[in-house]
Amino acid sequence: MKLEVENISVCTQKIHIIREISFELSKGSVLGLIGPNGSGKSTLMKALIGVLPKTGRSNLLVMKHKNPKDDAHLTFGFVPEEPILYDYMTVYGNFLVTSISKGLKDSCQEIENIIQLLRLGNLASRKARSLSQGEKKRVSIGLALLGNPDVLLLDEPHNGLDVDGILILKSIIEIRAKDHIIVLCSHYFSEIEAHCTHILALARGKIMLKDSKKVILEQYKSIEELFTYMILNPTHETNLTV
Amino acid sequence: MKRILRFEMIKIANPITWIYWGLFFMVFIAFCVHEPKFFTEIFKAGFIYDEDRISFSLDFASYYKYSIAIFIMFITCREFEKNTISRAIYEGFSKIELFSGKIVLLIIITLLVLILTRSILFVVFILRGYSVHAVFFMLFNFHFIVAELFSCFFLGMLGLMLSLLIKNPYWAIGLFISLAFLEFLITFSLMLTTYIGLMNFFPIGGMVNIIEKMTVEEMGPLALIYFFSLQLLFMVIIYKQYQNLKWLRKR
Repeated sequence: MKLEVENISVCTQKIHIIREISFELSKGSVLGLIGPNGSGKSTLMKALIGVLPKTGRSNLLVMKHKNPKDDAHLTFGFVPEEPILYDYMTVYGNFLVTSISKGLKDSCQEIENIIQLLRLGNLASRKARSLSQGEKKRVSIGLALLGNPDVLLLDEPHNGLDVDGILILKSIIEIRAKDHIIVLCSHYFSEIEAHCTHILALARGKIMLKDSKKVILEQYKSIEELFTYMILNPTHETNLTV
Repeated sequence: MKRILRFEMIKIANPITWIYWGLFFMVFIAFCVHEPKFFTEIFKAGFIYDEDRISFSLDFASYYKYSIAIFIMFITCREFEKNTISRAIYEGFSKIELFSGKIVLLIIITLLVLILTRSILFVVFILRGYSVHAVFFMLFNFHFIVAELFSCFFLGMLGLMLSLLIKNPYWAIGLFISLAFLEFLITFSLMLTTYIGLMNFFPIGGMVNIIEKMTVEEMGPLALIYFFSLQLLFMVIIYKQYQNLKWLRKR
């Protein structure tokens, strides 16, 4: 299983939000997306899942098998920065809608398992509109896990979560990281350092730095230091690229 | 198609829908039972091709035409307002699937409402003592059914188009009601003046004319072209709106 991203660009109203982003991830990789506000992290994720139109010679290749004839599209699970829920439906209803969207059959047991995992049992019959921000985030994470997707895209998943929620998320990432591909976008550098195998630093829609965490941490003391360097030297992207 | 239909159905299966359509049918039944004038007129209209009588029954039919349109607008706008349409895309639906889902949902709602309203009318007429044969002949008059079916679908699509363009339920429904009221005012004022002939060519009052033509007499080729081209235009606008869906509309 492999995720290849080739020259992805997103352009809206003649403004390039991201420019020619390329990277490659294989099973067991966790990519940490970092960058200042407006650098295009969320846009890249939305382009990957097909919500935003990609332009130019962008090409997203997804391969599941060694034989190209057996290639199939990888399935994505996405946690948006702002949870998107059907407010007028219950939490369980939201899970049912997602199971239909993803074309899952007999998903009741899986939904129950995810609800238990995220400790949403007492919220299952509540309307989504009555949930707090953190609870909505938990539901959003659960929806992304439904169907056991090949690639998990997490856009600021820690925002709004309490300590318990962060611990649950941590365990989910640790378990999934073994045999899935995860793309994690976060400003919690400790989480990035703890989970990621690769780092992709973006600034003004371009790649500033792309390498494995090990190599980057040889050059910088921490991800925070790298981020500080990026903020202080916004024009030095070519020097930074490894 | 089965998947998108299940998706659309599960989203509308909630108390708001039951209350909306429950109230609709309560009002419909109450009107059928307690309004003898309407009752007689609509019944006679089935046998005697009297334009005035048919117009009268069509005025009442507009009650469910507008109800269907407002309902479809409400369920579409709330998806755009909360951006859940984007969630549907990243969870596995294509834009074309979402477009066809909404159109098919509109057809299903239209058919269901027409079948149910006719079934209620059938029962009420039978209880009033009319013969089964006569009632059946009146209610399932071919022209009358086709006219209602197409006008319901037409207004539903107009509503859907407004929702996709405006994306806010209050503005979209407000504008739709204003347009409906404007159509009523223009038609009414034209009927009061000597310019009745104008209505044959006037686009706003055109719907009333076409429905009357479909029910009272055979529809002419020009009216048919006008009618279907309008439906096609709405379909194209709705399709384009779905194709233009973007995550961040502000950008």
